[in-house]
Amino acid sequence: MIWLIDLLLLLFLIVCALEATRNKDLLSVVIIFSSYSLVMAIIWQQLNAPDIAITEAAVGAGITTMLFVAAISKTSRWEE
Amino acid sequence: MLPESVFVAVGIILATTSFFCLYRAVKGPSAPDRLVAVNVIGTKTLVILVLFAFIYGRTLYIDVAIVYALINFLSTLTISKYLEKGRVTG
Repeated sequence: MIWLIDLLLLLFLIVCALEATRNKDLLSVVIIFSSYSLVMAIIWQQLNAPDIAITEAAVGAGITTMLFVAAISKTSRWEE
Repeated sequence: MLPESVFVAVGIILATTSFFCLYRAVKGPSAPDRLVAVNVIGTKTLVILVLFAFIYGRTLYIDVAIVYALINFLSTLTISKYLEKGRVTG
């Protein structure tokens, strides 16, 4: 029954990706993209790549979000 | 010692309920709503990681969960500071 957890998490990823392209508020996009990275770490672990999962958790969820928010604070929050 | 199916059932329930948090993250009218929703999603995924480590019996997966827990609060902290002050540095 572990495949059911994987299926739910992959559906979660699809919804996150679609919403990240659709939203006009860039801060919301960054927050949703952060949750995408969080769930992607579990998928890497399920694909037998725990080292990539560690990197995804550190870089994808932490550093990338910080850099994106820094970029938003220097430019504009709303997409034109 | 509980049977393995109990842990799988807990994982399924956690993965299902994270969709409600995703609904709040997508629909939430203000940015703090989305922020708290993503924080809850992070905690749920942390528990799912530890459950997988227990189901497969591999201690390497615990390391992933530790790094995950260390990094998880950083993005929340950065976005909170941006919402309060309008800038990240300084």
